[in-house]
Amino acid sequence: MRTRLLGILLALMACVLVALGLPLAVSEAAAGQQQVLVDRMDDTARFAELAQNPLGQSGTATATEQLRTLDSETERYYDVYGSPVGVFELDGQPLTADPVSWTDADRGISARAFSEALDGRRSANPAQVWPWQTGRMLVVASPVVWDGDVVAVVVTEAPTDALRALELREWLVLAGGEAAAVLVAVAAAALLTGWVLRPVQDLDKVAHDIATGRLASRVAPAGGPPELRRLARAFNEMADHVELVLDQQRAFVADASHQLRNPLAALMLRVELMGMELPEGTEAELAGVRVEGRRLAQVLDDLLGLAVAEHASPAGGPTDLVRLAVERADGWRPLGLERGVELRCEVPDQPLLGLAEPVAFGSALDAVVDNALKFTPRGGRVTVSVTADADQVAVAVADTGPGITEEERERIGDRFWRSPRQQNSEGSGLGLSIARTLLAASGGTLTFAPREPGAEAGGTGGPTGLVVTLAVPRA
Amino acid sequence: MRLLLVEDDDHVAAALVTVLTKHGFEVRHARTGNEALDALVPDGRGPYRVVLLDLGLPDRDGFDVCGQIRHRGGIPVIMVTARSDINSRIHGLNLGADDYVVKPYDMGELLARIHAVARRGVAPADPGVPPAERETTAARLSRLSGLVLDADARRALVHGRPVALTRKEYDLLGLLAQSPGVVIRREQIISEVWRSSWEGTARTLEVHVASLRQKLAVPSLIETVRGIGYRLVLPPEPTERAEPAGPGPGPG
Repeated sequence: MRTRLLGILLALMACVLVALGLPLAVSEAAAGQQQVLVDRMDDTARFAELAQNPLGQSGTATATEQLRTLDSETERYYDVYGSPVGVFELDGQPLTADPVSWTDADRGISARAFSEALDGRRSANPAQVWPWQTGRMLVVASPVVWDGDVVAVVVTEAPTDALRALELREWLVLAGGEAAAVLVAVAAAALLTGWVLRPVQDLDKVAHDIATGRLASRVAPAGGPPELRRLARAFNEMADHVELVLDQQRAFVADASHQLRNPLAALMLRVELMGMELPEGTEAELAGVRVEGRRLAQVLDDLLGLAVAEHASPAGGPTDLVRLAVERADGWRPLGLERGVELRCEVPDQPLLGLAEPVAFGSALDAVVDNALKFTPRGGRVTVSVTADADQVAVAVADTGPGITEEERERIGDRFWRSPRQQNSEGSGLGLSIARTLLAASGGTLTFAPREPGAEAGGTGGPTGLVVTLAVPRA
Repeated sequence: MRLLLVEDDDHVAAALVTVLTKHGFEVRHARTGNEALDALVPDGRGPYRVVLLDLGLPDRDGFDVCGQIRHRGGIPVIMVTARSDINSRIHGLNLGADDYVVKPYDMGELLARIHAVARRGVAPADPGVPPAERETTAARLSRLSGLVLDADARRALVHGRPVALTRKEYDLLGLLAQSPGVVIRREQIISEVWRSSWEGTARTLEVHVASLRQKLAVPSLIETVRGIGYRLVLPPEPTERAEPAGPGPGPG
């Protein structure tokens, strides 16, 4: 957006500068040439005046004297200005011409001007001279008139070096001015785009913060166009609303889990009372009712845990996930042994630091290991491993349980979801949901993949087991 | 054994009072924190052995009430509450609660905790009774039923007649005699006497109770409470002393 906006502004600026600069350059060149032409025309007119008398009254002593003067004048003119000048007869033969090599005005570059002068017109208005046209001459011819007749023609050929140098200089000044204007325009455009885009950048950052769980993040009131300031305000209002709704939802879940405890407690007490009155042989039924009651209580606990996890602030610093994983694995090993499941820990020797809140990450890991142990049959194995790449540190928990199908992978980790094949297992179906929420609070992710067949234990063919990976940004 | 139940939810309280009464406890129910603190004023009916305190009270903060109870005397407090978060637990225990049970609780667990806390706590003296008239559980047991337990010889004396008991029988009788009037649940007896949580011991328990009844030869001393367990029943006080009608009066 910034590049595009800058590009558009600069392109517009360039168009304006070119549209203004080109005609200005042309008119400057034309004015310079006009100046030279006027000078030359004055010169030719003077020579024509000088030549008028001697040519009109030829043969007199005065005429001869005047011709000599003319001759010396042209010679001096040529010497001083370096421009060839000559007075030519009507057939093009020189009366007097400098340099002397100039023998015919009716040919070469002066032919057109000469023929115009023969018709009694002062030739002027030659084509524009451009700086790159080396060797161009400006030819000016003026008729010498006596008694209304053209008796001779004065022709000057002015070299254009000085004119072209002047044009070039003027053009350089012009280009320099335009360059300065472009620089000013770039600076102004950068400032302008910065001003316009600043609220957009703020919005982008805050939206990302909110998406990653930092719900308290808000756009600070800053500059920018009024429309974007309004957008920022509207965004803040929306974020307030979203936070409020989420808070209410959390509060509702927490309240519900809280408020359901009293009726459930009363219910279970009544069940106990009834159980005391029941005849012998109904203990199994009573035990069943107790188990259901405890399950309901577990669901309430987990719901509350989820609500608390969603409320967790994403504070957390660099944490050694290797040590954490080893600690948690050690904690779960006795339970694994009791269930006949080997709990292995494959970690590197050196610490791997990830950005995580240790308690939250530990709880998430607990939920995942608990899940793995629950579904791994006796004699199976659960492996906890820690790996790291450039951006992430990942703790993977692989089990040798029944694994999940492709469709199940879409849904695993959803609240209350259980595999249809495991519908009767213990638990509330909230464990992995809580783990995911806890991880998300610190920018981590929870992913599920089937275990690579043959990766371990000789490979019995076909994917068996599940690999759950908890990944957090590397510290 | 006298308990004070502080609970604002009448449904829970009614059920809990019924269950606890069935187990031989004398329960006073207080709906608010102030009512609970008022109830702690000695009334001559014996001190409370345990307070069951709900944190969600309408008038005062439950933690505050807990602190007040601790302040007034050493009555053990079990917090029985719907607040399950770890911070509430830690806070409650720090404030002087002796135990913390989260609703919904298992009845057996709650009773076991009540017994455990009551066992630890020294029965506070009831200032309503003159010190001269205070008597220990053992003395009252001896006075009312003629049963004396000789801990050193691990035998019982009934009206001075020695009764030879097996180790398990003595432990069983000792457990019941700790809290006369209070029903001791079967699983608790099995846990404490047989050091086992196995249900299959239930039949063994019945056999031992039958044998104990036969050896002691005191009719209706050990009462079976169906579906719950057993208790030691003391004959009513022969004197005119103001004893409550409850089955387990006095300092436990």
